[in-house]
Amino acid sequence: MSNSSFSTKLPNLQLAWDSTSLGALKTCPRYYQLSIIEGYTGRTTNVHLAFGQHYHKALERYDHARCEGATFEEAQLEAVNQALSDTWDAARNRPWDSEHPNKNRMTLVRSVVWYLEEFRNDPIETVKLKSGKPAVELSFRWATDYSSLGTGESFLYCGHLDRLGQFQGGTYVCDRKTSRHLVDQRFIDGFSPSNQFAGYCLSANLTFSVPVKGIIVDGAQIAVTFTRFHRGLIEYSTSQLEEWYKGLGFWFAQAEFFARQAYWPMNEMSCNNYGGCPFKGICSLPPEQRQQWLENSFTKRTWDPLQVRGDI
Amino acid sequence: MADPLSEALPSSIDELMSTYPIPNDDWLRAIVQAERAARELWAKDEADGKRRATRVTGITLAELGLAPKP
Repeated sequence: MSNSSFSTKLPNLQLAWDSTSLGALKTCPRYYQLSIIEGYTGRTTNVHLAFGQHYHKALERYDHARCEGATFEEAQLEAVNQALSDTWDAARNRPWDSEHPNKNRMTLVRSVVWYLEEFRNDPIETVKLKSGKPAVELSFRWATDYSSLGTGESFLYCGHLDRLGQFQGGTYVCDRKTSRHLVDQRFIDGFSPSNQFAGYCLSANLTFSVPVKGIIVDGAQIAVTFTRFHRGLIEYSTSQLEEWYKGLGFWFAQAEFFARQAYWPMNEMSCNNYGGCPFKGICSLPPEQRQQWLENSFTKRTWDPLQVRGDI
Repeated sequence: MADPLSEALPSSIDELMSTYPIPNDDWLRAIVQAERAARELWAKDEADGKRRATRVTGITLAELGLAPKP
């Protein structure tokens, strides 16, 4: 399968990166190889990713409607309609069945309505870009100063921002996160430091010419019978962003080194993090047995940061 | 006496949400009103230190004051 984010001169060298692929490499080179380069993914849809995408899309619909002049009530109805529409399984003529007690069509609609009620009088104002357009659903792509030592090709960094907002005189990247677990200040603190958010701040500064002070995270705890929210703020100094950018160059060089060797070693210290790596069972097998099990247990998709949105 | 909006609706949020396409905006409004009411119930229970055991979707629209009791 062709992937436009990879070099044509050194095929295993990724040139266009997003926070998902960079995070995968930082987590474990073998995980990066299997999930990004080779594109293996579970046979069943990841319910958490699907729910997050539906949640984001519905609230983006709300943001857009408000920016286009809709009242709160009108925009809220549009968001609910979007959620209902996106979770209708047209092929089976029935609602999306996630088989998950916390993350399903009902809890999605509830979370969208409750979120908008919670932040009905939101003190955050959406930034207007120089073009006059509201700063919502922003895709970014920028050329870093780093390039491949072997091929000379430039490394790009890309991704998507939910929204840029003005809050207490500063500009922030606004991001929404969902979790089954308790969402409180400790949840917010879990995003500092953050590969994803540091990249967002730097990217917003560079691509939208807006001096961004940090990230505002709206966390949503999706329980079976309720949704609870917590808003947190994480600031990034210029020196912190410079540090992240320096690290970015290091990781690009690492990626090139691995690509040249065509070898991505395991980081066994990551196998049990966050509920366990999906490839833990594969990596536990003798090397000669892995390919067969990979093909039987996983399916393939192309992870191309120039095409898809995956950084939910 | 039930208002025309309520009479046009099914009896529960479950039923409302199991339908697509949504016949009209009244259905969407009913879903939103039901979830608003459910949120208020939950917030009250939280303030009282109670944990709500029933799923909000199991609540009938009549319980939420959106449809006449059968």
